[in-house]
Amino acid sequence: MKLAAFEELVLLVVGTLGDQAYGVAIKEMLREKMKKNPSIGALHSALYRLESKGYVTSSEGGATAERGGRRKKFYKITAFGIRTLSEVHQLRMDLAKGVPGLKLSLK
Amino acid sequence: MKTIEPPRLARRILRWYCADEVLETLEGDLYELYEIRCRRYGKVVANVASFVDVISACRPFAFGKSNQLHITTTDMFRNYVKITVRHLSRQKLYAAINIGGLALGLASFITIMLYVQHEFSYNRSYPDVDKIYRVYQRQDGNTFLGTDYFAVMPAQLATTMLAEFPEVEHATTVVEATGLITHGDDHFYEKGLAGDARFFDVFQLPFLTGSPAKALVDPKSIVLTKTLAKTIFGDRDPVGETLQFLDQEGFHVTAVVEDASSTSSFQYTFIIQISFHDGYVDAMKRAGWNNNSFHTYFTLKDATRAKTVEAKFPALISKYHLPTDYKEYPFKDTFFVESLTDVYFHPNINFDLGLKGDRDMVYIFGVVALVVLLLACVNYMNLAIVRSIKRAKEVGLRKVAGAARRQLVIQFLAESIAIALLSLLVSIALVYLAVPYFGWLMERPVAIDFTTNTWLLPGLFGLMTVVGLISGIYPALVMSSLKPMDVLRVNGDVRLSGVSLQKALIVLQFAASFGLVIASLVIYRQLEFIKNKELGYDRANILTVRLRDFELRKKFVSLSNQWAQNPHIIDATISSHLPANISSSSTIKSRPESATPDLAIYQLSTQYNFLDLYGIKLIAGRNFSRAFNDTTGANYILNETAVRALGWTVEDAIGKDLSRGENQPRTVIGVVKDFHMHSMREPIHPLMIRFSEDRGGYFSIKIDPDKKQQVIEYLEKSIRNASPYPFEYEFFEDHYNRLYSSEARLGEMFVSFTILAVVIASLGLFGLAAFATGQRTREIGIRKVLGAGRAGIVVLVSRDFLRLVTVAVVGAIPLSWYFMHNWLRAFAFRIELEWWFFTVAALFMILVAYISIGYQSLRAASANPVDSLRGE
Repeated sequence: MKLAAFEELVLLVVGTLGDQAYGVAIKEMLREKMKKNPSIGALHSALYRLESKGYVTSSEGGATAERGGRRKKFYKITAFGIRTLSEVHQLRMDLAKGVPGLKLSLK
Repeated sequence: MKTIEPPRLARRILRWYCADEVLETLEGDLYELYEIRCRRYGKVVANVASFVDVISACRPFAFGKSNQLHITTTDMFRNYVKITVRHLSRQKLYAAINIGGLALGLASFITIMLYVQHEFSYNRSYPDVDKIYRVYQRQDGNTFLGTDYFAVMPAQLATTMLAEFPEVEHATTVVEATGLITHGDDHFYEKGLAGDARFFDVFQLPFLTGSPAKALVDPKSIVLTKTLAKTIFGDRDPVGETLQFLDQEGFHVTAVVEDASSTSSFQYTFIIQISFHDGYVDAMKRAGWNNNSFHTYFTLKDATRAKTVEAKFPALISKYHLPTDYKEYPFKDTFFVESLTDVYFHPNINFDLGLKGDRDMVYIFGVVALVVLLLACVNYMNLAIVRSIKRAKEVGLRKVAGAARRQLVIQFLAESIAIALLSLLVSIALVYLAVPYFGWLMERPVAIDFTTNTWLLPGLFGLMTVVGLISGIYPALVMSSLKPMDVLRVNGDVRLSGVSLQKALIVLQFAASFGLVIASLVIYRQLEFIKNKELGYDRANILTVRLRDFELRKKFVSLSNQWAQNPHIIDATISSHLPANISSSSTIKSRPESATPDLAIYQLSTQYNFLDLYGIKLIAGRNFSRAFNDTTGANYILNETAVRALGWTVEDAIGKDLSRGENQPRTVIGVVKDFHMHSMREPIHPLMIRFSEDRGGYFSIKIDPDKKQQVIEYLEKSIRNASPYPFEYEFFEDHYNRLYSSEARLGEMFVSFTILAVVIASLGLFGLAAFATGQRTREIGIRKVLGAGRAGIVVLVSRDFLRLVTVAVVGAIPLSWYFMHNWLRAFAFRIELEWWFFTVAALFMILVAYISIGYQSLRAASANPVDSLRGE
């Protein structure tokens, strides 16, 4: 299994957010879009795992006053990551086609 | 602009576990989220959520690079072991003291816990033990030996309960049975029990041969335990054989059971059918109850119904209870039920079966054990820190070389667990030595047994780990928090905090030790006083023989005539009691006008030679004598206290009538000087001595001290000719000392505890001294350079500690005085608490303190200032 369910979600959000993907931003998006509210610990754990698997890279920067002057860790999706996402997605679609009554649309 | 900050505690927790490389990001997120939540939900929710965040982030990713930890744990382990061994061998003295101190604490803890475990295990080895109960009663106002609770019940109670209470499943009547079992020509004096046919329904003992249902049905049956069966019958099957018990013949052995478990509070070697007891057979014939001599045990179908049964008793009592032969029965009785498992810890009850334990004392011992262990751990902690100061440089280097704080903590913890393991091994050896002594001290079969005690080995390992962790965590944290800058500095002295806690603990340890020294001293002095006090009778060279055989008692006159032939036998007498313990009492009227008997007076019956043999002084009138007609038993000798209690003087007592007008006259023919007929806890009570030559409990024989062995053999032969019972003899001196065996044991116990406490306290002080002296090496060096002599340095170093010890001692004086004063008050004859007790104890503690600090202060005084000031 290349990607766990939660990891996949996080990776998707990282891809979506592009340059702005860091801890709190990812958390907020997951909250709005997916109605999921992961703890900051779970989130960072997943991000570290994604990095160690090579799906994302990280860089530091963006210290703000709200953070008490502390820098953020930005995550960027890699080409490998994008490829893995599409593979996983494709797999899902193939399986979904076999379920009668399941209508899917891809925007 | 002021930044809103998440709660400080949350941040501290985060900083504590989080690795540096992850900390910035996480903390930043924490701040940002806090600010967002404050806006959305308000401060309270934001605060709580921060804690949730911090706890949720406590995951492996936050602890540092995982690959780094893997390499370290396996490879570094060997290094840790090497370093630990190296350190221990370099600092042999400290290491030995550390291991020894911890071992001592562990050994005390384990020994006492084994005892506590044993105490709580009594009477639990029966199947369905939760359903086994017994009945006891209270006779309001009928106080005997300090309590009005009695363990004895009417004979018919068991069968009645079985008939009338549906909650009761089985019930049995039990009584003690002690006496001679005879098989052919062999006699065995045994202690056992007697039960009715339903005994084994209630007590499901393990049977080796025979069936429980039939074992005691026949009124002439007897069941033996394994060992007794072997003793009497060897390897033959005993079932079907016939035995005689006391004077009744024809008991058939119906079964053999396992020996009584060591956790059974009543020990027995046989169980005989209760019909041997005439009183029982008699009582069972009556419809109503008029006796209280038996024990009633029963089982409930449902253990929760115990109180229901208890509530039904009053109705039962009024239905069956007959008034006794007293003119009126003044004592209202109430029956209670009690679980078998509670019987052992119920000591204040009369006529109960078996051993009793004091629950409070067991708890106290448990607490003491814990305290001793804690003190040992604390001392260990102190000494470990002291040892580690020398290694501060090593710690600094490791940190510089990149060791994470976690690694250092693990290293120190591993070291302290290793030391704990060593201490455990040493302590197990100590426990093997201590347990038999402790068991003797407490008079219980405490044992260290890895085979039967299933939780012992894992428990000990668990203990070792916990102790290692507790003792090691503080030094580990302290050491790993040292900044390399501080320790690798050229100047060298490392400053550590926490000294005031250590000082407080030292004071406590010394105060406790002082108290124990006082207690030991006082107990010892009181025991000496008791041993040496003028008792009013002789103790030396008197052999006493216990008479259980009624026939033997009647043979006194012929036996004593025989003995008169032996030149080494000086005198002989027979008496109901020995002078040191006259336990039989009666009540008479103290004045002729008294309405009812209101004077408790003790009574002794004996013959002509008693007073001379024991050297009891006659101060008025005459002794029993063949010249007069004393054998009628109407003549009495009183002691001084009795005379006074009856309102007479010693001179005019002679010829007076004791009976105060009742039936037969009792004439006073003589008065003896008061002598101690009870333990020194009691004042001297009134005593009346009457005449009897063929009844009594003891022979007393005065013998030639040079021919002891010969005379004993002679007497044994002559008595064995007269009685099949075993020859039970004891020197009167030993008998007397046995009266105080519990005080003697108490004294022993206190001495042991005192030694333990003093050793632990001195270890503690040693550690503290090492620590504090180490902190002051530079100061001492400077002083020496400026011209201070050795003596001056010693005084300087010891001054602080002596102050501590003095505070401890002075503080402990009031409490120890109070406790010992109360203990002594229990004795009617006692020593006084003299001021020199306290002085001696105080000086002793100071001496101990000096010895503990001695090594340290001498070393500090002799240190070369060049070494200490090298760094400047």
